[in-house]
Amino acid sequence: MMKNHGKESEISMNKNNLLTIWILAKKNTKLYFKKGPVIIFGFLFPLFLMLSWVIGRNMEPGMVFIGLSAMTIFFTATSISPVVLPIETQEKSLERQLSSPIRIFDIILGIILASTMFSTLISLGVLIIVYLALQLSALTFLESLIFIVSLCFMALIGSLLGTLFSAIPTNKTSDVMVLINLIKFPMTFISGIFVSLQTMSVGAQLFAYISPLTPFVDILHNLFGLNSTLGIGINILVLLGWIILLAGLNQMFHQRTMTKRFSGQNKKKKNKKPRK
Amino acid sequence: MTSEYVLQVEKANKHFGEFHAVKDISFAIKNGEIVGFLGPNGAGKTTTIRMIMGIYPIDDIARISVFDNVISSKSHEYKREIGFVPEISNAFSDFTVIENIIFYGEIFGLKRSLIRDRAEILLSRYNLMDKKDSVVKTLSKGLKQRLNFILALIHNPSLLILDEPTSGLDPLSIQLLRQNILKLREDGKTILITTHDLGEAQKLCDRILIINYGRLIADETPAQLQKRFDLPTQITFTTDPKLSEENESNFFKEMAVTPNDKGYLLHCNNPLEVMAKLNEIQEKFKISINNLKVEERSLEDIFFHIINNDEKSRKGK
Repeated sequence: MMKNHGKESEISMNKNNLLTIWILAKKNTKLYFKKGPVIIFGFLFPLFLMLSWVIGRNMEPGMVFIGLSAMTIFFTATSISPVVLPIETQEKSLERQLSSPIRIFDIILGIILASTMFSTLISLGVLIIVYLALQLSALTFLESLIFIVSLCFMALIGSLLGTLFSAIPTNKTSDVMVLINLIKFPMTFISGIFVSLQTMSVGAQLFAYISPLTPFVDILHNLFGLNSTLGIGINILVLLGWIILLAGLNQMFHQRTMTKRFSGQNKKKKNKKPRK
Repeated sequence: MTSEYVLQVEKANKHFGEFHAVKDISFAIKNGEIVGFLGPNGAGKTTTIRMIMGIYPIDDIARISVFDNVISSKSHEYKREIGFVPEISNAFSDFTVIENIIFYGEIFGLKRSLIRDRAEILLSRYNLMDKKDSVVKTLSKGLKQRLNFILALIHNPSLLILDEPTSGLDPLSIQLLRQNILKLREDGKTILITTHDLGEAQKLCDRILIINYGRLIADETPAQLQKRFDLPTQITFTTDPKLSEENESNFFKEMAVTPNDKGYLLHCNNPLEVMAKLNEIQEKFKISINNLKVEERSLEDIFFHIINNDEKSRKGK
């Protein structure tokens, strides 16, 4: 009698799956945080963008901290997650992983977990130093907790966005990085970091909420006593909505494109008769 | 009750757009067998393997089972029974040899102590002990391929799928890997091996599958293939002195001898009869026949014969 193994679900979770995801996340952190695109887009870009924004301006320390928080978390979170799949496609290690008892879903979650942990820890380290240097008013325990939770949510959103772009079945990191940068920069500019949401028209404010950075920035405005548009609770719900939406899109797109990484389909379309 | 088959593939099909890469392939492999999966480039060998490994989804008609477990695009646990060795290294190039081994050991749910014990055995079996702390990208192709074998064996699988495992390697690595493939057979492993080296297939395999244009066109033991395609024996020789064209036709009349650059070539079904005739010619015309070589037709000749026949029948259609 043949048993059917088809019952293993693609998104269900048990102890083994969690362990697999953790092993994959450890591997990703160890292998990819030193890669060129991660250093360039995760550290250097936000640093110089921040410096060009701050230097020569008389700005409120709170605004500087909010801007730095948003840029650091968003740029670091979107730097590691898009590069893993193209690199592993290129060096064929993705094929070996899929030849092991690992689901596509586990691989994606391993990347997201590594990226979220990495960007949260890096950002927290940087932000604590800046927070102390700017001598900002002390946050209460609850406010600190909200800050850390929203920082984690933002890291998760950035990581999900990065992995979503890496669903493009390519083995070149540059293909993914160019596309994601096309999205990242406009998102940064419409999200209330450089121009306060309150100075925008209602239409522009609605448009700003296309960016997942906007609710995060609005939460920080609220925490640091600056004008905010929506309450903390609503903004957290918006962030959760983004997480659910991006997770669903990731599941859908990676399931569709994963096999195309190995098929050489494009080549075969151009040359349907390989031999005569 | 479990069946005697380790791997069963029934009606496997794969399309890439309009290109039909694998067409209704069916075969089964018994426990302990070494089966060669042969075919020209682009014939569909790697595509079939990727379907077995769950990298390409399986369509509704196809049924692939490993140890009686029918696999689907959502099943992964059956892969614990399989060790896969690809043609090209696919370890993490920035990890060291031992880091790769530990990673895959953990993925297969092994404890660190067991991974280290097995790693010791495998590293020494594949002569890689002194490279265990080397970063993979610094290793030669041969050493990387040895690592591929270790990664495929760390979880002690029952079925090994080897996709051109010795392709492009130096003779020493090839010898080491072949010896180890035979050792794996002694250990009771079942092996599916694709190779372009037909001599290797003849030496290693109990059974041969031949695939061309995505269709399986032969599934027999090497002996059955030899018997079915009873190809003539090939005889080559040179003469001293070298013969003129006129002498050639005089001496070798009634024998289908073809002159070539090195001497003469002929194909026959009865080599003893031909050798007796050559002996007669030697004495009658006072010439000496040298460098006589009698070659039984190999699997390579049979392979080309089968592929050429298939090409002809395709063109005929």
